[in-house]
Formats: sequence, structure tokens, C-alpha cells
Amino acid sequence: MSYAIEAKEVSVQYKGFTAIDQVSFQLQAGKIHGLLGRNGAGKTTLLSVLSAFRKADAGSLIIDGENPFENPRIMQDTVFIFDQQKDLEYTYDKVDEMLKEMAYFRPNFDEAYAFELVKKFKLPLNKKVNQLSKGKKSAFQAIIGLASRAPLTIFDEAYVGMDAPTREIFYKEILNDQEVYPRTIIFSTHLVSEADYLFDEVLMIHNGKVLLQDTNEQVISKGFSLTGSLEQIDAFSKDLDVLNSQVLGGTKSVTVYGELSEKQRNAANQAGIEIGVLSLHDLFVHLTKEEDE
Amino acid sequence: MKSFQLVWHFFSEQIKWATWFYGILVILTIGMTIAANHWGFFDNLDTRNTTSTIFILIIGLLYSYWFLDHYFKLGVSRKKYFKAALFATAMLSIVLALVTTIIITLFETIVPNLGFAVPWTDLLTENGSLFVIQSFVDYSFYHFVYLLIGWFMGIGFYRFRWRFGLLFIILSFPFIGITEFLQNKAGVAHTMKFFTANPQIISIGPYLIFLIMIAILIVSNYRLTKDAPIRL
Repeated sequence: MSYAIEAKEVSVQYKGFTAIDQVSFQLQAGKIHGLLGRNGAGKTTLLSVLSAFRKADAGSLIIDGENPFENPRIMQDTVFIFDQQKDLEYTYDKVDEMLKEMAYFRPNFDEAYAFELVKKFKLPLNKKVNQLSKGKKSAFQAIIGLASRAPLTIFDEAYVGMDAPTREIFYKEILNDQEVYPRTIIFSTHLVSEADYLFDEVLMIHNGKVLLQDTNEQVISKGFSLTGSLEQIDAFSKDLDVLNSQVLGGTKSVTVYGELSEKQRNAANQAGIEIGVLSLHDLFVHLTKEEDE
Repeated sequence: MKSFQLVWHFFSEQIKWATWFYGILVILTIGMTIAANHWGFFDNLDTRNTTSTIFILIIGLLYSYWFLDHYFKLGVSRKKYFKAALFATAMLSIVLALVTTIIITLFETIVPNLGFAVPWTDLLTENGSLFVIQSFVDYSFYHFVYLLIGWFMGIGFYRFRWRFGLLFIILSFPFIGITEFLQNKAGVAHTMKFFTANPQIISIGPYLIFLIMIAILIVSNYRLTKDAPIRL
């Protein structure tokens, strides 16, 4: 089971500051959506509205056909995993006790799968949660997020403190379990380059507004790089939307936003200009760059 | 999760804490009884309310910071949480009143039989079983009101942080003042006699005031909880 999401003109304000500004988007059910944005872009605020932690100040939000705020069905089926290191400092229950408690609250919680993940993440079952290291606490939360198999699962920087191999296990588990038990997953991250292969679709926000939303392939195809001699690149890219440029000796490399026509591609090839693929990370960095940076 | 399961879960958590508190309290009271008999310290302990009131108030303060936060993050809606909290509050108030009454009654019965003097003067058991029952009812009301007051202060801080949170403490003072005043029912009865000579009205007066305060606190707590933003 998975939930579709539709947001229309959603706004959230904090003491006069607009964190989310008339944001509209649709998220398809059963997909992994990458939510990208810089610090302070409004990602966590948006996710807190989706998970009914707070009410939107304006606009409408529909999850699986209903308003999620104070909706017992939607709330029970929504898991929001975020950095809860502070909360977990006061959790004196043992890991196994906490996981068993989850089954009490989450209708789709798979206890056997949770304990399987405990082995994979090498969590000590008999240790109290507050005594776990930062990385292990994050792994513990990741286990809850995965094993809950909630129709709407949200991971907001859920990997804080995890080392690279553990993050890799986490990403693989998301993909493996999603294949067998499809659900709507929103994965908010700063580590775009290492997690981009997870995303079916990408929603990028910047300064509280939607910057772009499309499938991962479509987003990546919206940018490319050109490398060649300084003069050639300057001539070729003068009418293109150049995001970034680098010069090394007589060689210049530019990052371009947009698509090349067949004619332009042929012209580039004939001129000996190398056309490269732009990663989601590069595109994200360039699209969210401020003017003074 | 069904509502009664949530109430039971909530109540069980509180009882765990209460067991620790009352366990320590009983040990301290035994120690103080020995100290009072051997060295003459603590010869007039106030065991009736002040000890459990502090505990109750702290539990109430934690309703938002701990329980609301905890249950919400497990997918429980604010409304469902509120109902469960209210039922659990009523259950806890009654159970703690019962435990308090039993502990005091046992102390007042067992300690003299062991040849020691009870280290307080105003004995609960010396006025007969009806007075014990009435005390149990009084304790229940008292606990319930203090839990609601603690909850009221806690949700004020949770929602509005320190500056406006302090305002909720100030707003709680009249409730605390009236509750303490009602403990001395003779005072209330005296006040009511000024308005009516009907003994029935005079005797139910304190309970009526308790009920009005309870209603005000429940409505206030609900309104503050129903759309409270949950902290990340």
C-alpha cells in the first residue's frame, strides 16, 4: 500500500518568516522521491506538514484523498524519521523492547524484518537506546522507518552519524524492501551524489519554493557539460544557459542547463567539444547557487 | 491502535514511574518513622498530600514534553492522545489516591503495633472508616486537579516556549490556590454559609468548585493540544 500526495499553494510561516511559499506539487504513490534543497530551503518544514507535525498556514494538502492533519488513518500510516538524537538521549528502554513496542503502534510493522535489520546494522539488542552511539541511534531509527512499512515513509537526513558502509547498507535496504513492499518514500538528503541512484523522482526546493520536479532521468537530462578549448567553448555556449564555468590553461569546461538539439550536438562533435553528462549533485549545486556565491 | 490499548499503554507508563516514586516514599517514611522514634526528628510529617502532589504535578508537566511528543511520533493523533491522556489521568488519580490511603492506613495500623509512634499527628484512621473513604475521594479529586494543572503548565511551555510559558504558570496560581483552600473545607463551608444555610449545598460546595475547575482545565488543555505543533 502506498499513498499519493497532492500539495496546492501550501505556505508555512514562522514569526513573519516564510519557510514554505505557495508550494504546489504532486508525488506519485509507490515511488522513491528525492527531496533536495539547501540548508534552510524549507525541506524539514515541508516534511513536518506532510507528516501532520504542524498545520500549513495556507493552501491544501491531500494524502491518499484526505487531509492528513489530525487524520488518524493517515497519521498511523505515516512514518517520519528525522534526527532524533536528543529525544533518544532520554530513551531508557532496550533496543529489542523498543522494536517490540513499534508493533503495537504501526499496523504494518514487521518485527522479524526489524530484527533481521538489527543484525545487518550490528545493533546490540540488549543495550539501552540512549547508550547507543550517534551512528547506531540513526541506524535504530532507520530500522524503525524501514520495518514499519508505512504507506508514506519519510526519511529526513536519517543517516546522521552513520559511517559510509552503514549508509550503503541503508540505501540498499531501501531499494530491496521497496521492490517487495512498494510504498511512497520521501528521502531528504544533502548527500546527493551518494543517494541519487535511489530516486525515481526528484523534487528540488529553494528558498521555500519548488525549483523543479521531474523523474530522475529527466532532471539529469536537463543539464550537461561541455569541455574544449577556451575559444571554442566561448563561441559555442554564448546562447546557452551556463550555470558554471572553469578554466584550466587553455581548456574551458562549462556546465549548461537545458537540452542540446541534434544540430547542436553534431556541431559540438565536429568542433571537438566533449559533451558530458551532468550528475544530479552538480545540477543541484548549480541550480541552488546564490548570486553572491 | 485502539483507544483502550492506548489508554492502558499510557497508564502503564505512568504506573511504572509511580511505583518507583511510591517505593522510595515508603522507604523514606519507614526511615523517618525510625528516626522520629529514636532521635525525635520528623515528629509531625505531612504525609497526606504534599509528597504525591509534587509527583503528580511533575507527571502533568511531562504530559506534553514526553507523552504527547512520544505518542505523536508513533502515529497517534492529538485528539486520540488527548482522550487517552484524560482517561489515564482519571485512572492514575484514583489508583494513586487508593495507594496513598492504603499506605497511610497500613502505617497507622502496623507502626503502633510494632511499638513505635506514628510520626504525624492528624491520623487518618482515628475518625473511622467513613473518613478514610472520604479522604480517598478527596485525594482522587486533588490528584486529578493537580495533574490537569501540571498538564496546563506543560502544554503552555510546549506550545509557546519560555516567555508565554511563564504566563501559564501565573495562570495556574488561582487553580493551585483554590485547590489548597478547598483542602480546608471548613473554610469553604464558612464562606458558603454566608450565601446559604442549606447544609447539603455547603457540603457539596467544595466538590462543585473542584468540578468547575476540572471542566475549565480540561477545555483549556484540549484547546491547547488539538492543533499544537509537534517539536522536531
